[in-house]
Amino acid sequence: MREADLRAWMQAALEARGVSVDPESLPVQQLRAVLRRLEALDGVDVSSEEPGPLRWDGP
Amino acid sequence: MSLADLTLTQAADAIRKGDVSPVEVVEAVLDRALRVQPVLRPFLWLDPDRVRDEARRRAQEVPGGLLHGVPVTLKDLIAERGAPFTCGSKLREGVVAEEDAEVTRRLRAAGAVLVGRAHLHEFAFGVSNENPHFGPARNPWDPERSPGGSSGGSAVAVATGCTYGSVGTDTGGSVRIPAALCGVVGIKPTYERVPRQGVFPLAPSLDHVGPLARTVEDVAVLLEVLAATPGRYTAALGEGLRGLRLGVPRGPYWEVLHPGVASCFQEALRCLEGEGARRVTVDFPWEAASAVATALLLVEAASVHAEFVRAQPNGYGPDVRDRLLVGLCLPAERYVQALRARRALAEASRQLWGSVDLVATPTVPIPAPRLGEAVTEVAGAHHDTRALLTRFTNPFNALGLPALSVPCGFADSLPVGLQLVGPPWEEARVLAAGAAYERARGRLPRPEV
Repeated sequence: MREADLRAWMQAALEARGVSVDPESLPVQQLRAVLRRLEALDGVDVSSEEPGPLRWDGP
Repeated sequence: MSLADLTLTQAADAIRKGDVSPVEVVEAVLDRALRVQPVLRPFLWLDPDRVRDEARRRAQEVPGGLLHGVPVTLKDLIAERGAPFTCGSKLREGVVAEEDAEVTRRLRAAGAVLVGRAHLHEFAFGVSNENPHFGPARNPWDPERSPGGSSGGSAVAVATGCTYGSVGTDTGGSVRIPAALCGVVGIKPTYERVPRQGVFPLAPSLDHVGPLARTVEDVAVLLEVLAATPGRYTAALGEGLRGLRLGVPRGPYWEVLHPGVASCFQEALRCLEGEGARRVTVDFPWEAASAVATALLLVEAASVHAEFVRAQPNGYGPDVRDRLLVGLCLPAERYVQALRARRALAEASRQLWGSVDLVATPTVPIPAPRLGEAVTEVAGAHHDTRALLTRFTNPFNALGLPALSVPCGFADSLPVGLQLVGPPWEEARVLAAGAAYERARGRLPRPEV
């Protein structure tokens, strides 16, 4: 996504959550970097897991 | 030598035997704290008269608890009745805790004298301890450098003898990172080993409470108090390393490493092998575990702060505000995917513990960065400094595993930490290995105060 498009998307997402911020101050590059980092999740087979809290048996 | 230079265990023993009084110990620590505070700023708040009053009360009592009369400091994210509870933010200016956190109650019940409120990154949401509201805490080895965070004030106070131990929180490395960068010991226990009641949350599914101190024995004592597990960890500290299977991760994820840190880590591994440990190479999807931590941290922190962000987005420092905005924008399906991935990785980690007893890594890939250094060069490439600092620690927050940082030398004259990680609930094993390493390693210099 182009930077201008990502900025507009980010602004709309925040406004939908009731947050109003100067669009020029939005951390667009940071969002892009995080989204890229989260792509590492795609390599994990989660087909047999339900979302839920971490629970270790014990102690 | 000042009484402030004793270890926590030595101070507790001296008070118990009647060799010194809590008042003498507290005066030594306060003298140090009042000299260090203007330079390195380990505290957000320090009321010497309140501390002296508490020491006098303790001096009237018969020593009973493990920490009778011993000065200990809480990060200003942990409620302490009657003391400021700012969480390092101007948004909470004037807030005073009405009740103690559970860990505060346990420390008081053990006889501790609470000294000041330790500096932190705003709302613990960062690892540099650069705080736009109160100024930065500074590294005792080089005041132009970060002490790490978010429990940076805790590590500075411990390293400089302003307190004997401190209690911090660790959501992505916030106990272990400052411990490593300041040359002290810190442990993040197993998830939910230590209660979080009365601790301001950052990301509840990753938040851990843990102690920092100058020796492994000291953090073991503190953890016994915090976890209400008397004797469990200190009893194991004499165990050796013979036959211990030590997992050492390999692969590109671990190769983003300052050469001086790499050298210290290799030397630490040789030292551990010299004590009888056996090195085993381990593979694991570390990058995915780190991504789990990133997704959960950003979304959960945004959820915790959503109401304040709507009302006063610019009341936060710019770095924290930006992270909260990013968290509010992350797709819900990524969060759910991260929850599912964490369970899959936790299951995979069970296999790991079948082949090794502990995992060893450097705690942080670089020595303390300069304050304000957003990008750091490692091995010819430029990296986001914040992501570098949490790179080796946050996978273990995602998995909720006990992880200790113990000093293992110096790179560019700055401290380096060795991280030892164990299976769930095996803090005793982690601490025993840390203590054995510490004995074999020998004494390291302390920062000049």
